Parts: sequence; C-alpha cells; structure tokens
Amino acid sequence: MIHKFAGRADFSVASVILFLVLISASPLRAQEAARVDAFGGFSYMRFNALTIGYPNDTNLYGFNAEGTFNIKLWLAVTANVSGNYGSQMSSYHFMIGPQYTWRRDTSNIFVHGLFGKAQNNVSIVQPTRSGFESVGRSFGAGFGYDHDWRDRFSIRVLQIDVFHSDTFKKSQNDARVSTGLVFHFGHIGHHRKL
Amino acid sequence: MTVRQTKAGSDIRTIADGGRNMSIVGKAMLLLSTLLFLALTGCAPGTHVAYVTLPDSNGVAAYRIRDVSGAFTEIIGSPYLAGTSPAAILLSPSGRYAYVANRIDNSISLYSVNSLIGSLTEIFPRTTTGLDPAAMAMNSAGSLLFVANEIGSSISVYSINSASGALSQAAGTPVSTSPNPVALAVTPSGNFLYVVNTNLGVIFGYSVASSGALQLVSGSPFPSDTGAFALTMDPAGHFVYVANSTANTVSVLAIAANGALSHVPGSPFATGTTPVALATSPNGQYLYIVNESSNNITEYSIAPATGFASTLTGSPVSCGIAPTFVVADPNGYFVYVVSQGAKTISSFLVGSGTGELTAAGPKSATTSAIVGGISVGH
Repeated sequence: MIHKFAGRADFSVASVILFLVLISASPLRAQEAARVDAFGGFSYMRFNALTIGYPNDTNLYGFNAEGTFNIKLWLAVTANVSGNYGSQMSSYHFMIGPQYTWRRDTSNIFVHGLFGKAQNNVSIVQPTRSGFESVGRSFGAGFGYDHDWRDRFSIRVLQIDVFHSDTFKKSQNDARVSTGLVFHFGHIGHHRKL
Repeated sequence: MTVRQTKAGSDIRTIADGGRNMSIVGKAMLLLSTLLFLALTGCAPGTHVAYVTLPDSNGVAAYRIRDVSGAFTEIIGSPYLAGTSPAAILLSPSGRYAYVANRIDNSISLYSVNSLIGSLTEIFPRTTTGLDPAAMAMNSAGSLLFVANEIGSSISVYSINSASGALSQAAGTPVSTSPNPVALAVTPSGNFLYVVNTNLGVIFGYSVASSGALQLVSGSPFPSDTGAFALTMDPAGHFVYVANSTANTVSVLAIAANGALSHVPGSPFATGTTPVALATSPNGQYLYIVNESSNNITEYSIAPATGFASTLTGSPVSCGIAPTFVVADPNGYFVYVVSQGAKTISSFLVGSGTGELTAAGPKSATTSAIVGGISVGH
C-alpha cells in the first residue's frame, strides 16, 4: 500500500540504507582529518503530524547545524541543533551522539547515532493560549556524504537522519534531509592535510 | 577533478568539476536518498473529522479519522473548552464553523474550525438560547440554525452570518411548542422543520420562511408511535424517520409537498429494544438505528420510491453497551456508534453495495466520559 510508508520515517528503511552504505564503502586509507568539523545548512523535515491529528504528515523547512569533534580519524562526537518550520508548526531538535567516519581521498562518509530532546510547537490559537508546545526525548540515526571543496571547506552533499521523538503524549517518527557547508578546524592524523 | 598543493606540500583534490567525478558511493547515496524522500512524501489516504461533546467535563473532543482504516487520532489540543454541559454539536456545511449547545448555560458556543488541523477555537460571546438547548438542526444552505429548548418548550431560530458564522436570533422566535422538544430535523430544501417531544408520540411539522419564521404545517402534529424520541431526514428529502423508544419501532413518514407527513405502507417497522438514535447513509439507501437496551444496531434498506424499510441480512449488529448516538461518515465508508456504557466511539465498515455493517476491529476512540453529541465532517 502506498500509504504504508507515507509520512513516516520508518526505521527499517533507515537500516536498509545504512547497510547499503556500509557494504558499498571502499577500504579505508590512513590519512589526516580536521579536529573539528562545523556544519551549517538547509534542512527539510517530514514531520509525523498524523500522530497529532493533521490530515497528513507535514513538510517543514529550516536549518541544521552540527559541531563534530574528531577524537580519532574514525571516531567523533557530534552535536546537532536543527529548527524546521511549516504551516502552523515548528520543530527543534537538540541532539548529541557518536559518529563513525570513513575517510576517502576527497570525501567522507559518516554514520551517527543521536540522542537528545525534541521541542515541537503547534500554533493554534485558543482563548487562553496561543499554541501548544511539547518537549520530549528523541533519538535517532543518520548518515551523510561530504565532498572536499576547498582547503577548509567541504560540501555536505547530503545528510539523512531519522528520529523517534515523544512529544504531545504521542510518538513521532520523523525524517530530516540536510545539505550545506562543512568548515574544518585544527588537525589530527599522520599527514597534514589542511 | 583538480589537484593542487597545500603549503605543507600534500595534495588535496577538489570538486571543481561540479561533482561529475563524485564517487559511486556518493551516487548510490543520492539515489537512495531520492527513493527515501519519495517514500516519505507520498500521499496519505484521505481523512475526515469527528467531534463529540463531553457534558461532564464541559469540553469538545476532536478526532481525525482515516478513510481507509477508520483509525482515530485525537487532534492536538483536544478536548476544547465549551460551556456547561455541552450536548448537541453541528458542523456548518462549509466545515468552517461548529456550533455546540450548552444545556446548563442555555447558550450556543461558536467555534471556528482550523482548516488544516481540524482544531476548534471558540469565538465569543456565546449566543443565548431558551432553557436547556437539547438538540440542533441546520438547513443544508447553512443559513439557519434551529434549536430545541427542552425545558423552555420552545424552538429558537438563528440566521447565520456566512462570513463570520455568528448567530442572530430570527424575529418572532423562540416559538413555543408542546412540552419537552428533544429532537428536530430540517428538510434539505430548508422548507420544513420537524420536531419530536418526549412522551407525545407525535411529530410537529413547521414550514420555514427564509427569515426563519416558523408556522405549523396544516394537519400537524402527525402521529408516530409511542415514545417518539429521535428523528432524521432522508438526504433526498422524501421521508422522515422517527425512532420510537417505547414502542421499539421506527416510523417512516413520507413528506408531502405542503410538509404534511403520512406513514408509508408497513410503517412503523420493528427495531431492537429502546431505539434512541438513527442515521441514514449519505446516499439514502440505508437506515441504521441504535437500540440502547439491546445493545445493537438494526439495519434497513430503504426502497427509494415507497420508503419501505427492509431489514438487512445480518441485522441486528452487536455494538457497545448502551449505544445512544449513531452517525454516518459523509463519505459513506463508516458508521460511528457512541456507547455510553463503554464510553467509546466505535467504527463500523459499511458494506459496499450491501449497506451491511461490520465492526472495524479495534478502531475506536475512548472518550473517558459520557458523550452528549457527535458530528462528523469532511
């Protein structure tokens, strides 16, 4: 049925994609990396609004910002803040989690797990209030692909995250797609790349 | 791809060629992402909304119902505040406004319906009615609202401002009636209004002027059967159906050009025990009656020419304890039954071409309180 997946970030879909990425990655090469990667860009979110009575899941647009601290060439901790806005609603995520990176000559592929909070707001006016807001736990996973562009910049061609959040006393499964620029600071590794 | 030297002497490669040399992994990711995006943004099946009043908690609960599965989802912010002891609820034909009769407040609450979400926002002030507004009806044009004041023993009529939804009491109303009017229905044309009163066993007919003024139809009241308690209208405006809660029957009455009513051959027809509410399918082919004491639904097929009511195969259908309301989904897929005993709203699938009801599994909503009225919209 078409609507089986419609409006829902099904974690099984994410799992299949992650698996395909893993098996398609070429062998790692020893190389260097920046100590810190700062990402900022546009993001699109498919919010699971059916769970709160919308007729369909809804599209939200906004920003995504991440700071990634590389502990090792392959291991990092990433912190993520995003805000997405749409018709009569907004959604924020404040997340942190481990990240694993495959480094190639001119590109990086990463996967991460994220844990934190989601804050969702619905702007429907009532006599005693201007809307409804709910903050709840959130966790998810994602992957992305960065391609080198300049000495200290990469293009984040694509990042896809799926989240499970508990807000408004309901559980939502949301998906977020991001793209933008990554700025690199500092250096770790055997060869100076930057 | 270009290669150039850094200050430190190591080479770096850039995507100066616009990404033509993107790795196969990158391309695979783009393809998968596109597929994921398409899956996520695919069209969901249609939905419609239902609103129920909760007299004990002075609220109105709102639900989104999926057309395919019949699953209920409570709309954010629900339940919404109402006046004291809200009972009957009606949606305007446009779906932009909802009206709730507050029985103890003696008032009507007007709500704007959020066109995207379906949430309700009350627009003050409330409109004063007669004593104990127990039931409402609206003409199909959405220009007149009729209110039965049970203790006040009167009918109030209001004209509706199409732009704001606001109510203005029609001149010459409320109109006094016999004691305890408890249900009313208006023909699709809006020309005639029919009212039943507790324990009278008759139906009063009124002609309705464009101003909302009421005048008794010649020959009114018309006999129904013992304990006439609820009524509804054939969508084509040919028949009136009356649930007779004491006689355990349903009366089918044909509407004459002047608004006079007469029983069709065979009427009244047998029902279950204590029929208290009834609804027709949107196409008018089927009639459903809930029986409060026998906890079931009697199903009929209605002959379009004669109004003769034939019991469907499989009728009656069991439902929750003490059903008191029944309403048909305007799309014709479902019938919803409110069970006061179980405090649930249950979905029943309407058989295509047969009209027979099948319980739609666990597709129900728990209201956690007694329900005073229900209305279903698009």
